[in-house]
Amino acid sequence: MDSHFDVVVFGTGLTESIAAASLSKAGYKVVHIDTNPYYGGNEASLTPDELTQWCSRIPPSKPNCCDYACKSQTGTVQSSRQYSLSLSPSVIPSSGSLITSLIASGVARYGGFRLLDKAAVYSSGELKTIPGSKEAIFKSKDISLVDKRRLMRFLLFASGDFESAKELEGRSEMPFIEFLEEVFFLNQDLAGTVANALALCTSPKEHTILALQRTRQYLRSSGKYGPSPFLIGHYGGLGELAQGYCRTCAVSGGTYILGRRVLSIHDMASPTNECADTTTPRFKISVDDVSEPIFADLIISSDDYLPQELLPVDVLGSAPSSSVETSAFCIAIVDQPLAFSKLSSQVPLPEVDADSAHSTTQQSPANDDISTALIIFPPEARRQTNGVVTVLIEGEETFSCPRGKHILYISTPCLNLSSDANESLDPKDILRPYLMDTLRLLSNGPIPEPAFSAYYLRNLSTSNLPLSPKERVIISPPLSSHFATKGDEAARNAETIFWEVVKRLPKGDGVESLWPPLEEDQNDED
Amino acid sequence: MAAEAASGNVDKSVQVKLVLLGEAAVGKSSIVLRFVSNDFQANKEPTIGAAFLTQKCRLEDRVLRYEIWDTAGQERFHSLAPMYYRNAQAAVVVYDVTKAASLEKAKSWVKELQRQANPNIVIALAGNKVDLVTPSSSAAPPTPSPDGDDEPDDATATPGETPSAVAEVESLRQVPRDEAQAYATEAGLLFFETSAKTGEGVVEVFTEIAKKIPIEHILASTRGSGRNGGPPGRPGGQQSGVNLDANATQAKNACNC
Repeated sequence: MDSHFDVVVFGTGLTESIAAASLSKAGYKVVHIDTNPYYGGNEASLTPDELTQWCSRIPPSKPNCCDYACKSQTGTVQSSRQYSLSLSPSVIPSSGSLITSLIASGVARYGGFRLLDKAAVYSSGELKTIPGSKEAIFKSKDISLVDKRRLMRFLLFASGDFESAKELEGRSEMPFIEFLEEVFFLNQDLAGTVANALALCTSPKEHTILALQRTRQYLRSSGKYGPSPFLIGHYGGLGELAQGYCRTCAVSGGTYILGRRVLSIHDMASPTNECADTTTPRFKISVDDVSEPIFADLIISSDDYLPQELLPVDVLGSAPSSSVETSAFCIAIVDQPLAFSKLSSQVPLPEVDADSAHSTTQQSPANDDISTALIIFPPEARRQTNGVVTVLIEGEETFSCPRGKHILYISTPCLNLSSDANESLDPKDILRPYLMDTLRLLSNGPIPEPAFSAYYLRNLSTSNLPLSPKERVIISPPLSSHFATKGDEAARNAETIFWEVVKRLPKGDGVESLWPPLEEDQNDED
Repeated sequence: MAAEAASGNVDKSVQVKLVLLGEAAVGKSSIVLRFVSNDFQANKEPTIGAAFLTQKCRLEDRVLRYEIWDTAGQERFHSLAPMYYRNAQAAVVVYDVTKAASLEKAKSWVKELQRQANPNIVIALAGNKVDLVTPSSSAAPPTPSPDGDDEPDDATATPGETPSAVAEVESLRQVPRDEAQAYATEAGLLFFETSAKTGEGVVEVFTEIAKKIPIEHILASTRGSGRNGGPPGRPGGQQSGVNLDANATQAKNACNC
């Protein structure tokens, strides 16, 4: 092969895959390398067999910004290939950077999507449905008139451009619930419901600005494709989309090398003269089982691929005090039917108004047809070690599992950890009670024991990683753990990376847009 | 028509996803180009720059609409994504009759398909570049251009193996037809020898596949409740899926393929 590339991208996580596709479409010669035999990196969709292997793999020898530790895995399933289990379960807001990117890049055509059927909050022993929008606030009988006014005032505020509003001044890092109580005078219950059900806060201390941004996105997303503001990607979600972006990159000429170890990455620039000569390539990369070395002028990578000398000093030398966010995850497969009929009563928040196209009676899929659901367990006083617990359920209509099976993804941020707690921290201790609660709430008979389950931790170092330790090295930052924002984050990060590359490695005739206009598909007439 | 297709209401037209497989440079893209545009480009660059190509294929009273996925080069380091195989109802595995190793590679792709793809997939084995080994009597003979520029050089023929005289032609064949046919029969594959350059055998590959595709089954699973049979050919089928483009403000009049 012609082995001199403009850009080498390491890792096929969603961010890197979007960046690779956009650069390839813009005319850059891209080689995309992943040491894993599967696409998607930390966002991969795996079969249960692959997940079992993933769980038993050897942990990396050096600390990375984002590390996973699988603590336990039990069970096997028949027809493993019919499952797509996401390492990074997520819902996609109908209005946001990822959707925009999917449409503009044409990758949407590779993916399939389903609207989230139901969302519910756990409240005093019951699951209560969360409505999709704000219109019917006036119809709710559960909220007093005064509270309705206050809530409406808040929703109006949250759906607008609040960034410079005086209400937010000096309060953007305030815990969101306090903000709701102090500025909008919402009572504690209502504030909690808003924080959990609309703002999708995962921790009671979450900063107001982030919660407001999610609330705004929630409000702007609902109604776009249907009553729910969220879409679920088929075949495991983000991992499938990463494959779609990679294919788009390949179709535009990108070269793909998966499942090969990267033996060395050598910076050929002289220390005195960083990027003088443009004709000789800057980096020399050897990859196992690829006979010729690969040359490239610029590297895009998640930090775990880069050798020490290409990393900014403070990443790895950083003291453990640079805050680490730990989240606990559980993936479980059950093969009994789930009784979604139990998700019928409503939280005291607006339901979509009855005249709208998606009114309650027409909108709600018959309970048998419910294939996806989101259940939120608000933080409890008796469980100090975790924040909000999110349960995402996917059934056969997402094509992620065979008929009659369901996949449950459960996650929560781990809170109040002592500095050395991580070794002894067991995600199973934290999450199994919620798994069993969920199954109990959704079953009519005996509580099914999951056929397969895996529990793991994700440690995300939030030290401010510089985007670029060197002119020709761009680090793609790991995604946050929030199930509703990481896809959009990936799209935004990829866009930033794209423009950085365009700036640092200009193309002859200039690049005008992230995604060139899609061409009409040819030869449709025969 | 694009509009019809977008509405998903094309009567009698069945969408069939077909994937191409085979070693690099055996002429996969050229076969598609011949089938779709009845065209051939000598010295074509590797891979076609399209997500997939579509071509209708008429079969008695039915119209099949092939959605043909090219490997886009991802086969080179064996890095095809599961997405590629997903819901493929047909596959054409291509080898080069002048390269024995390419048949071995084709066999490994067949195994890969049996492992990864839909169990009912219809697989055709195509020995391409047969123009290089056929005395120019049958089919439309490749008229050697006098200036000999791109002479019998196939689209993606490996440099150095370019034949220059008809006399040498038979000796270029490294895969006897019988051998490949025997393998195909044993493995339950359709078998053809093709030339993307002359067009020989190309259309037959697609029409024979069309005859073998369980059309009724596909119709049932896409039109029905979506629960009988396997997942529909296109995810995002009418009932449960969401078409992202449908609500896009600048929705184009593109076909939704």
